[in-house]
Amino acid sequence: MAQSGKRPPIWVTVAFDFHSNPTLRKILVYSVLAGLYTAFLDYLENYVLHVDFKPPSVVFSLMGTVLGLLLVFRTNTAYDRWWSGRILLSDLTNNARNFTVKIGSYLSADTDSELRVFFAKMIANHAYAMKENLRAGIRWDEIEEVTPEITKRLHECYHVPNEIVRIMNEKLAELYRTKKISDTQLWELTKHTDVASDINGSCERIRTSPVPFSYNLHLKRFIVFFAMIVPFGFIHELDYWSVLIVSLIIYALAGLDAISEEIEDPFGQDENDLPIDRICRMIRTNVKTLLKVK
Amino acid sequence: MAKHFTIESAVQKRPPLLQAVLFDFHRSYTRRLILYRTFAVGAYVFIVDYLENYVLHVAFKPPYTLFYLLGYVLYWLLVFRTYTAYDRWWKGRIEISYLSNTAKNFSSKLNAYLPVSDTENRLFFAQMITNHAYAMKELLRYGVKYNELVELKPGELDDLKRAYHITTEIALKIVERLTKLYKEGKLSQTQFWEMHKYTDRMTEIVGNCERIRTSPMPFSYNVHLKKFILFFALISPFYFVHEINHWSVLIIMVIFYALSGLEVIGEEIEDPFGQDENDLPIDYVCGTIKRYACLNLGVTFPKINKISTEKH
Repeated sequence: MAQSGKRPPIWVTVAFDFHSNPTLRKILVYSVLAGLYTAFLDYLENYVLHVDFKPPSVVFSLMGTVLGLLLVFRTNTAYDRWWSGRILLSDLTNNARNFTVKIGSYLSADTDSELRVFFAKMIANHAYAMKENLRAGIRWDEIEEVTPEITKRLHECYHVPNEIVRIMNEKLAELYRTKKISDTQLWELTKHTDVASDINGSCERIRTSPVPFSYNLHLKRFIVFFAMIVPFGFIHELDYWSVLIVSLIIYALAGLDAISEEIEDPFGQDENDLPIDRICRMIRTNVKTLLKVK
Repeated sequence: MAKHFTIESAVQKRPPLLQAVLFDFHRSYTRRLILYRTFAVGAYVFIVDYLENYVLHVAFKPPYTLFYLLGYVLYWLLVFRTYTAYDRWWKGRIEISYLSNTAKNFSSKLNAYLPVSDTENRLFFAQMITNHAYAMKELLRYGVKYNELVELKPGELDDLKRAYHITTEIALKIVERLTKLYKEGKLSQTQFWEMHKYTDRMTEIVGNCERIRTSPMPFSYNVHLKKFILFFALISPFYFVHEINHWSVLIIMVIFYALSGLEVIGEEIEDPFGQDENDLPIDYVCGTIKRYACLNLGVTFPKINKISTEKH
């Protein structure tokens, strides 16, 4: 999660921080490589070979425009995944709250406390299971035990969030059969199990569908081509100053691409990733306090 | 402990990017096409350069402004091409994930409402949910592959082979069975109503995917864009051959590689239901639907025919 409180003042980061996370380091490496290449080319051209290849500047402005298209596309699609992911997480919160409010009012605290505990734990477990399923797999210490049978089922199943929803559906059907909830109440409550499962599916879609491979490849290749040609536009006139200029250009271009790459999968634990751990903790606390469950 | 789902198993495997960027100019149809076109343009520029500088000396030199202006118009056409194509691709991805969500929810609810002992109905629904997905997949390609459909008894699905539109026929079978259960009192009114959400959804998803599949970018735009690219390529050498001579081959090839590449990739992405490199993992999703339908309803299909659930 972004620890905004602990961050240094933004301009300090802007001016001095080129290395504190993998994305920044990656951009720096590309930029330095482009600089070295320019220095090498500059030396060859101006002091050894004198090929005198000088493309007109209009070439670079057109290439820059096309590169702009690719980068805008890359940035928009990556950010769209990040933002859709954020919306899904807030939907998850909303759904958990609504579900809990209904459970809390349909099932009385005096006679059905066991059921209230069941739902309180299961709703929060679903959020936690979903979170780690989008990463490296379930962390069992985050899953609260409801009954030993349920724990056993969850350990033996293939897909934990799906199994949690399935168990909640079974429980709701049982409550309906035993007339603890009415037709309309069943209708209301099963909406929320559906939404929980849909959100999980949609997050998995975002996690498993990066930008089409060909676009990614095409963009990166074009940046490479551009970086290889662009020094020729400067070395004759600016000599070694062109190293600085080219590094700066590549820093901007490669930076957009590297950031998009990071943003595209928003469910990890990188600096820019979504505050999904905090949201899960909040859901658990919210559900438990609403249902007055410890 | 049982084998759990991992997200990595659902992510499509790709070759290492750096390696692909530097060396992979040929491993897919799209990339070969871009390469061929680029070389064709390169050859053309070379010929013009030779003719102009060493034979004809026509001295036709349009101003650079024209180059930039034409490039800029082309750029807007390509923006349009890229975004509309990608939009279809992403909408298709969303529909497919909805299909799998619907299958999961539907089977999860049926599992809760049908008695555990009712294997017959459980098997029927698992079978039909699976068949619906597989039928849709191939409907969007070249017609249904009947050997992919699950049969519980040999010859059971022969009537589907005569169907005009197989997925609606499957939906009809599902709703008929739900109605029967409702009349027998095995599903209550609310439950019956609820089940219709899923059957409606399944039919809608097929329709939406068909729309994406059958509506490429309007033909006139496509032709206009291609014409413009051709025109742009034909005139492009004349700006440069006088000043930078043979180097113009390199420059124009690089620019053309980028422009033509966008056009070719857009064209490929636009129909996302095929089996090209960038197409959606629809085979994988069908395998998932089959898996979850069986898991949620607690049934396994008897081995009658073989279904490929290979991951991409």
